[in-house]
Amino acid sequence: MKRKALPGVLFLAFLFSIAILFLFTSPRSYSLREKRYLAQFPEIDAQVLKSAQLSQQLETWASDQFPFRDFFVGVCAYTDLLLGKNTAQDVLLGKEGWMFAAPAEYDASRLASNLAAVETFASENTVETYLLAIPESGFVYADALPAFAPEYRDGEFLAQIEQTLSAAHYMDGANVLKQAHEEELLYYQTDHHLTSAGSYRVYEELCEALGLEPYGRETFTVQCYEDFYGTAWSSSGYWLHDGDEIELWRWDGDEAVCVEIPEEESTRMGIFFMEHLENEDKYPVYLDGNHALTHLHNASAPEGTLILVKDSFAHCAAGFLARHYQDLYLVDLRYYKDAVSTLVEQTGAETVCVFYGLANLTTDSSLAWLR
Amino acid sequence: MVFSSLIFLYIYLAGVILLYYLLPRRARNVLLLAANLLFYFCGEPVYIYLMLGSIGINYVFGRLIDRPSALPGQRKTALVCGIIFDLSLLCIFKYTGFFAGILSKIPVFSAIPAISIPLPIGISFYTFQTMSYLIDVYRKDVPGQKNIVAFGNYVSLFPQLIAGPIVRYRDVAEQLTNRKESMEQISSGAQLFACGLAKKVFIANAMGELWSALAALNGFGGVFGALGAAFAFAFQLYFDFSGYSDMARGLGRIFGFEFLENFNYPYLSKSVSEFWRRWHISLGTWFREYVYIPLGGNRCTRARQAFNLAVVWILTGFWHGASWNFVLWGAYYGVLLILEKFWMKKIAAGQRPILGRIYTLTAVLFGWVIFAFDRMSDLGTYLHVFDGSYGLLSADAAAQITAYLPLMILAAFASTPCARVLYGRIQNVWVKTALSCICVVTVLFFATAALVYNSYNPFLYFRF
Repeated sequence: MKRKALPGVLFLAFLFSIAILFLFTSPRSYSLREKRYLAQFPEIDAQVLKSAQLSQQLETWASDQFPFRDFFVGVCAYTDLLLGKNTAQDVLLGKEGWMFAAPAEYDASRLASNLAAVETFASENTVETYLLAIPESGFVYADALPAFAPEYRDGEFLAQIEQTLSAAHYMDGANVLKQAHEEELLYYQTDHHLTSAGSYRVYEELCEALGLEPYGRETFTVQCYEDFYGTAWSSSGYWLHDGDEIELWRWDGDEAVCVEIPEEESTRMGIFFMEHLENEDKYPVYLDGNHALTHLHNASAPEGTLILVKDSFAHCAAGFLARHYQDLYLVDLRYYKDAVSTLVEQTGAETVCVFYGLANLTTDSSLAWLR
Repeated sequence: MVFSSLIFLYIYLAGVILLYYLLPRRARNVLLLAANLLFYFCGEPVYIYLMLGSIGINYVFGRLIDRPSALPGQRKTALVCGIIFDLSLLCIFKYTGFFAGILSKIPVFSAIPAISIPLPIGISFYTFQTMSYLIDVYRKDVPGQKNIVAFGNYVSLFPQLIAGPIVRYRDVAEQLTNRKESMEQISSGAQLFACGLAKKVFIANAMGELWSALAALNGFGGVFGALGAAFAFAFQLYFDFSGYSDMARGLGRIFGFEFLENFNYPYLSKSVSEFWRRWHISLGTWFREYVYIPLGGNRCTRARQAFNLAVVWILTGFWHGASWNFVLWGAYYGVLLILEKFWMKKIAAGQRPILGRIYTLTAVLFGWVIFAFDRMSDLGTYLHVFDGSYGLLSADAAAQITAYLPLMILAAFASTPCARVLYGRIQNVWVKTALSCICVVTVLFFATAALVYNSYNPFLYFRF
């Protein structure tokens, strides 16, 4: 073969080998890492042809079903990093393996309307209403951020929240996290959530505000599981980076707590959903992840009823609170469309605690459903 | 389908190359036409009729002009009709909305609704090609094409269908029916294609991200943010367009066609006139050949020359898009070129290389700023940044620019022929070949990774 033909031969060989792999790999229907269904070969009907979406749909199909998809994603993520682009899918790779979610796109009017919803609820109902917002990991572990990282303005927002609230009580979670952040890992490094240790610090603050005596650390037995790869990890494509450890803080009686998830018509004993420990993303081990309503019943607890209006930041701490309350209701307003005040009446709760990640509080609109 | 997509590379292109070379030579044109139409069909199924009509009607007019028995008047009538047909297609599909918008501002016509017709892919390019065909045949520069399959391939050839280059009929007339593909030509085409793919995927896309990131900041993040954005936009346009042209020429070669170069390191130009001889060469050539020279070119009074330049440049601007900023952008170049022609002769002749380069780069950057904003108010907002009211450089803008700095440096380097010169200096042919092989495979591998990554779309309820 002629020398000059070589690059062309390699080019064609590359093209054809991928094409052949494409033809002979069976289509995947679901991507665990992306947590979504992958596009299948489009059905070509008159509708598609008219709307000129054909090439778009074909492209989505080809890229979703591309051979070695996750491998190529990783190659690109690390190449970008090498070129100095440290913004893979809005994840900032910090020092010592930290993966921070980029600062939330703060929406001033969204935060204001969310706070207004909480205030209205607090003033129109007789229950005591508290609000607790967990700052982002990039704010607490700012010293581990990469150079030229964008600014985390969480401190500013929290101050604004504290000033705005009057009918509802403001609870501060940021201070204790900031103070203790060097002693132990309070957030997962590959996920945006609080670790058990972080949740415990927040739980102590909650207890103080709610007038409870927190159970000491020595009353828990810690079980440790490795290879927890959180959402920051799976969205970044940094596959070579290590996962986190996830800890279950067990206490006497945690298996006797009855967890009821009405939307799934399921009731089971124990606050830990161990089957999720099999997956890369192990966080749903706490209360099985997001549900419209989750009811925890602990017959041997000393206190009455508490309602948490929450996002997933509350899931781990809820396990600690279940030790105090006979009935703990977790309401997720993204899915729960009934009035929380009705739930208050039905359950006789005396306290409602809005427990959110600050990023959600400044960007998500579902708190408008609080009534 | 764009060339820098997985479906194009690994399904469409792989399939077409395979079939093309499996078939005997005489069947290849038919396959190619089918492949072109499929390519067009995937992008805009409905407009396939437009493409077929365009091929058919221009073919017929070409034959009418070319008839040996045709009288001069008949030939002229056929030419005029053909051009009217092509221009009407362009006007109807590209400019209706624009003109309707202008008319509706006049009280009498205020009832005219806003019209938006989706732009058929490549219409600006293939209508110019068919016009060049009719004119060339009319001028008897080339004989008309009798084979409708070959003519169909000329109009719809997928490598240059979407974004040029605008191939003049006379440059490919011979190749359409009588070309000899060879493995060496495929190989050099593959290298050119890889080069274009790298320009598009690695540089242009990244510069586009930087431009959008800076544009999203309050006041572009200050004076230097706005300046950085202009550079990013200039790099994005150049690498996008010249990358696309390289891919087109490379693909052409893979199927045995040779298209003329469309870009020749324009950012190194020493004058604006030189810039336009190096940027989108096929468009400049088209306007010179079919508008400027027929209007009289330089062989007339100075006033008439200035008028000719103004006409050509306003049309060139308008060709780029149906909105006022493109007209303004064209007029801006018209003014600069008139200035250079009559008053800045030393710069225009390239006798002031350093001053000329600085002036040209500044002028071109400012031109791209006009080009970038299709609303005049956005242009005003952009220029307002330079009075310092948004500061010099915000932290966010600095972070963005730093993140893209290595690629910007690479872009600046790749805007010069340095790499090509260095490669040319290598004496050992085997080292050269090895280097080419490595480049082709590396580009394909990493471009594929980048394309897959673009589609990586985690649905993670990230914050929850």
